[in-house]
Amino acid sequence: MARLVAGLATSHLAMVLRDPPEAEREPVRRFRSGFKQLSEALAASAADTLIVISAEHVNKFFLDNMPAFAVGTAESYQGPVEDIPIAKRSVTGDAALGEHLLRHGLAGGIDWARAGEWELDHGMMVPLHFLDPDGRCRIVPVFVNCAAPPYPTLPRCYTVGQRIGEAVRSWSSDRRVAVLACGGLSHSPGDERMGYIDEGFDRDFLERLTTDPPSLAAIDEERVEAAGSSAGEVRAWIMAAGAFDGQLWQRISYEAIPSYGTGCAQALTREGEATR
Amino acid sequence: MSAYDLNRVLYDVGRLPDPLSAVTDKDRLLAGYRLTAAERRALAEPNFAALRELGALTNLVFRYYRYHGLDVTEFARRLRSEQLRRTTRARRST
Repeated sequence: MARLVAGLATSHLAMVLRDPPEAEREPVRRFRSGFKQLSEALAASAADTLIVISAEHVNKFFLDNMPAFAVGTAESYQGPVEDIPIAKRSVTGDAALGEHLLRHGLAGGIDWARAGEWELDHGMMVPLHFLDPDGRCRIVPVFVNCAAPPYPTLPRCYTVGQRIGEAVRSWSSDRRVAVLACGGLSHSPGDERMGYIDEGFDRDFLERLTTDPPSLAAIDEERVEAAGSSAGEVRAWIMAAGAFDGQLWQRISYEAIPSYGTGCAQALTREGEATR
Repeated sequence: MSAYDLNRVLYDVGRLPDPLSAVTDKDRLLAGYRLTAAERRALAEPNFAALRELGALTNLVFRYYRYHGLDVTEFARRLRSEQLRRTTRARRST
């Protein structure tokens, strides 16, 4: 059977590719070094496939056909779709695992939308740039709607994550699979709170992830909205926590970086980590 | 769906070969869309607070702002300023 060997989570802001003001160089250095730790953990896990869970910023999915959740089943993906300072490239897909997630989900109450082609945005491509720049891992992109309300509830996100974990562990394959959650924490691009970072929300979220991951699903939805218009991207983290169902995560970094307007965080869990 | 066409404009402009040039000719950009007068005015000015109030998605509003070549660090300040003007105007008219 396939194994779920590591869970990684990180903010995915494209701003991190640009140099910060002098006063923020140290927190940005610490956040960027977190990518190095995640990258080393990914290499140590010997994962050959990454399930990459992220919000998408209305670059592919639009209101004409907006799923709550979608899974990629393509042989390859392109990205980033936006003009950001990383080279556009092709990333090899794990179509077999994408297909397995789709079928396992549909048989078990998760009505995935299928994405047979997908030009990925910064939400996935920035983390991949830092964690797997050479494309050593194949990927299965997983979309969760965090950009066009109404959104899937947090308990539903946790449940979908649990099904992802079950699907991997029940898959008749020798694949070593890691899960990479991308997005958050508190930030508000495109509304009047842009620049506001809700450190209280961010720190509570990370505390739950490291001590009681299932409790993430119990966070009040209004509290998430109050933390920022895009704080809901933590849904990707909650799905990853669900995939490891109760397994504890280690906080790698947390930096509230004003010029990025985002609570920037990273976390990690490895196969065999303690569970709550 | 409410504000569908407004969001459709904002989504479509990002798929044009040169969005920064496209937003300089609003008559051409907005031709063919079923927009209310308020939506058309908010897109044409542009007024980002009005776009938000009319139901435009935050990611699309911010992208539209960037296509106008405006300073991203000034976004929140501009939005609050536009909101204040709209509130003041609304109070005067009641």
